[in-house]
Amino acid sequence: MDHETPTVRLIYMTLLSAAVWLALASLYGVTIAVKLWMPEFLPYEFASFGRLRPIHTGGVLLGWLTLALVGLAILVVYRTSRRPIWSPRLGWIGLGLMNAALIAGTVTLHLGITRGPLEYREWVTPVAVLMAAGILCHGWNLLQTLIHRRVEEMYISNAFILGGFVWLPTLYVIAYLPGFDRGVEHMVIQGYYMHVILGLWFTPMAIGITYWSLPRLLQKPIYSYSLGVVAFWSNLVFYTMIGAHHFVLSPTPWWLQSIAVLLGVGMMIPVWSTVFNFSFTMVGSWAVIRREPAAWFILAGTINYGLASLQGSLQALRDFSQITHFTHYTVAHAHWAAYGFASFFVFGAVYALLPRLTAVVDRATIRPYAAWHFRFALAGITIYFVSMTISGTVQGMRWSAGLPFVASLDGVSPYMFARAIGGGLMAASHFIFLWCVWQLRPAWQLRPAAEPARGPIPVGPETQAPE
Amino acid sequence: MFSLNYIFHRRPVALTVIVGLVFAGLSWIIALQPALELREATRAMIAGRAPLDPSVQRGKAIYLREGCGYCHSQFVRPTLIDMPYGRASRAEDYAGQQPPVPGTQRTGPDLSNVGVRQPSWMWQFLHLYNPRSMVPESIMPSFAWYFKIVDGAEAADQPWVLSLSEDFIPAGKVAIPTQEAIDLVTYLRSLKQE
Repeated sequence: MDHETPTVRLIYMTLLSAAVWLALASLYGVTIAVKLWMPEFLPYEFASFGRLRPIHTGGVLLGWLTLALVGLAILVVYRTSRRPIWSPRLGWIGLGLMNAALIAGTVTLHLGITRGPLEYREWVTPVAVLMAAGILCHGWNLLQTLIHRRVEEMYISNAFILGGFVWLPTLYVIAYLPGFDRGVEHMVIQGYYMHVILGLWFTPMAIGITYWSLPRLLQKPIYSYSLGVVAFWSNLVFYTMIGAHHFVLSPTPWWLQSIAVLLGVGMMIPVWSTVFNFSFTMVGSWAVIRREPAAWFILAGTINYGLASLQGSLQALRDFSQITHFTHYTVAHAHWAAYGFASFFVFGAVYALLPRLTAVVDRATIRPYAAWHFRFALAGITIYFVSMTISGTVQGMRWSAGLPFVASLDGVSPYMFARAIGGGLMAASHFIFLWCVWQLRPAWQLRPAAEPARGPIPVGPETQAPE
Repeated sequence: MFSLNYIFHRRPVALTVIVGLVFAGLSWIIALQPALELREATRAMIAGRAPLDPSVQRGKAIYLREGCGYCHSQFVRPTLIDMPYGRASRAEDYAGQQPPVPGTQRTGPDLSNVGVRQPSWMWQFLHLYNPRSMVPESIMPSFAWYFKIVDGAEAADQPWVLSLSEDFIPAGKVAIPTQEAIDLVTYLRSLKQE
């Protein structure tokens, strides 16, 4: 199995980079959370709130989640196509480009070199080009691997992965397209970009990867292959169309906002297809679920996905949006979805698949640490979500009561403190995660996989017949 | 044989092309085509407008650089909640802005009309130097690096001299705004709804 060594190393280094960016970016997150409670904390130019915030969001979204999803995508494609990756060298180039973009992005934002507070596209164009080039390298590599796969049928995960790798670069091009840099057209593109990157990159990638990690973990096929296909197409159609809900009641065209609100409710179709599918797959495997922290992450991620998406559909409604928009309520929602759903699926997939891949440490050794990672992460996001939801509601209620603006600051200070505590717990859990990933590093001389594939491997709809 | 189902499971290239095209088509309908149309409207709106004052432009660049728009919206909705901030935003308000900063958060108040609401140079300088000196509850960062701290006597010939209590500045010292602080306040004072 020596020929597989480069693939394993590439996957591992991508996941390790992701874990490092997660630890780093969550420290930025805790720092800005403390600043919102204690504004004189670190009062330096390079560390002011407005400069650290995009480093935190860029670090967690483009550093942590994107790198981790890329690493897991390589893993899933490698496993389901039953062959090593097409070109490990191209994979290393992609990883290098993405890390270069992240370092350059972090440094430039510290220095105040930015396109302005345009969420998730603050990086100046040369930095964004590095990132896009990295994604394209990986996308091409995975496509070639799938073309030359050693099985007849592609497993459903690969559809989500191929989609993600064509949607993200397309989206990036539209977001950085010159000519829409002023007026209401800028708001249309901004709303579109900042939502579609969630809906057509993080969401399908996290789901696609879980379509592999969950059956592997539970050693049984997914409950319904067809529901997965429904989720794939409906997610593509609905999620692309709802970005305008970030600017409800703005001078952007009314029909655009109405489509966003209406199809936002339609999002329940892909969301609940996936939620039901994963839930029913888990039914009956309680022994594994009780034992494996990986399964805890996937179970909690599934619940969070369903509920956070339902909340998102509600938040888009015009009446609801009037109160909650501009408040911390939306920040709570964003963290619940990006962390409680997407990141939890990634954690689950790493704990489910990485020990099998590198096969140096028995998964039982990692289990107690993974369990503590889960407890800290869940406690952290829960404290964060609850405190920010209450604080957002307080803000919205005080504003609608006609109180002066400072009343909303006064009322939320204790919740800002709680937020920093929640953030601190999440950050602490990420250092446990980093430690676990480090423990799972592959040996220099890679041995053949200690755990050969067992049980039915769910490759294609025909394997779905009940056992 | 060449059904969508077949392509979904057997033809990675065709699948990639199809989902890419579907996405591009939907993006055209929901983002690019409306944006192109709105761009024409924007061009018509700004035709004949005088270019922005250079100091306002420099101030806007600082506003972007410091990420002010993460906490301050410039987007007033036609709702009761937003009434303190001025009339509802119109397309014309954003037409001249490059880029517009409507924002998604109000950790601080909306600034669409701040030039009318708070036109005082001195208030703005003191508030930038340390927001707590003007609004004790504020959680805005201090932007003290846009000011020079000098002895009171040295600042005699300066147009703006900030005297603050010892909570904010060492005894006997005063703060004077740099050109960047003046540009930023010029920009803030230019934010007036017509």
